[in-house]
Amino acid sequence: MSGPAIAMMIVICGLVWGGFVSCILFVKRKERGKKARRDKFS
Amino acid sequence: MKETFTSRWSLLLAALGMAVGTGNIWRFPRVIAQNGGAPFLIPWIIFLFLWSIPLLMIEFGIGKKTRMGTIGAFGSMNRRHTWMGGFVGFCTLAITFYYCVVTGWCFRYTFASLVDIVSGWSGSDGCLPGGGLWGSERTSFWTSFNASGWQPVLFHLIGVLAGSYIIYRGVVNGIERANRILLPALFLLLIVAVVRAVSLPGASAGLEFLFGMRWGALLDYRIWLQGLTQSAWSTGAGWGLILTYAVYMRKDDDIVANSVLAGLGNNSASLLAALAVIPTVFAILPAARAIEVTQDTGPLSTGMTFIWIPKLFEAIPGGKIFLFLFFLALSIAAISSLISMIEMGTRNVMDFGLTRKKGIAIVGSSIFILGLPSALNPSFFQNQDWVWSLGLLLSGLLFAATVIGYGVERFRTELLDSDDNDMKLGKIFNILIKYVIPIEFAALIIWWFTQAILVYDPQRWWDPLRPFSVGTCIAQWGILILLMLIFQKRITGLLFKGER
Repeated sequence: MSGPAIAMMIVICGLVWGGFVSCILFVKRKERGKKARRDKFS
Repeated sequence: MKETFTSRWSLLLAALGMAVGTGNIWRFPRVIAQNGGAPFLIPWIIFLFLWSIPLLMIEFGIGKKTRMGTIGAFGSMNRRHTWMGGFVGFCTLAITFYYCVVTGWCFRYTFASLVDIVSGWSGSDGCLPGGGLWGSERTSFWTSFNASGWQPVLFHLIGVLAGSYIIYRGVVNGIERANRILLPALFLLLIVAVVRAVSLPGASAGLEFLFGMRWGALLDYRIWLQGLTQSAWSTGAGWGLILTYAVYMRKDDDIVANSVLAGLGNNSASLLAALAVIPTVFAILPAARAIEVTQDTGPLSTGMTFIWIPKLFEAIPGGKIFLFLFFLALSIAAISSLISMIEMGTRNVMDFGLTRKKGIAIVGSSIFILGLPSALNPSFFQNQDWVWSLGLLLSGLLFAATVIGYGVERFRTELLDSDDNDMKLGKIFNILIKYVIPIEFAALIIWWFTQAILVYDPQRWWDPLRPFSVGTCIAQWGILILLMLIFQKRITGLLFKGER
């Protein structure tokens, strides 16, 4: 496999899978924050 | 009182289950191959953000605001737009009729690949002489399955019953519980398949084909149109399915981040499927032959998935087990999307005051009966696929149109930039809905109709009785829109009884 193809694979997979995983972590963090706020006011 | 998903994660799993379907595993690897590999991936990612995610946001927003199925939702946005909801709903239901047949094929192949493992262990040479279970000729199994008549019908029925049972169980016990099992299993199976594929000797040729960039290819407009088409069909944006699930989202649930996550999750599954399939084909066949095989459309677009993959997987160590896992993943993807389609139909029926039980009886039996012509007649299947797949593009435009009618700025500030959302969009959303989506729709519809006129049926492209003509699209869409307009007042009256 050539160098440019490896670079492209890293970029594409990074964008798609990295974006997906980042989104999951972002939502997880936000939900934790919301839960903490709910617990505080309940 | 409508049920709601018990958590945001349940909604997201259901949304992912809807988005990840056979198009990700079956169509995506073939379309990449037909468009020369890596260059296709660029527009495919760009149009995720320019078509699919904005439409997912609209669907989430309308569903959350109106809490009704497609017909009632469009009617709630504007009483004169009820017909649009009818078009979107019927268009998706018409796809369900034949999608359920496809789900049946997936079930049949999963069952057959399991039988193949068992028969292999018992020392048998398989069901067909000369070439194991899948036959001596590459199309043997598909031909005998399809020609039997009763088998596609039986497995279509199994698809209807399985999907209807999940929907009958309701939102929490049915949709939510099913997706909690199906989606993690699907991603796990795809990851196992990818690990196996890329570890095969010679798989790097497939990876080179998949990611070897030729920048000049990006100057070809067809790659951009194919990328947009794949993005429009694969994510399920503009189908009314996310709208239906959004009916059951909690009142303070986010829309923007959920839409981005669903879109990226869909593309992640597609990429996994491509990495599972293409390196496997290149590991077994010489490069030139591998490209031909991955590009093979075959009868009813079955080419690579249903014709070649069973034969090719036989050639790798442990191939029978991986073939079973592959078709199991395909079946899971199919059923998780099918249930969202059945729920879309059922929700619309329930909006008229019927119980879930009666709704599912009406929708399930309609899917079985109206799917029979597609199960038995390949030409009918192809015609319906052509007409309603393009109809989905119109559905996407109708979603944008109803938001434009409602006021894009008002929609954005009320639903997308409200405090419930974890991300804020800003005015970019207005530009996407007012200008980008209508331009994309126009480009796509002109291109596909031009294909019909110049390539598919140049002699009789206008003829409504031809399977791939412009005439058949206009005629079937026209009849549906006309009926919806005629009955719009009555349908609106039934849906909003007691309201002025």
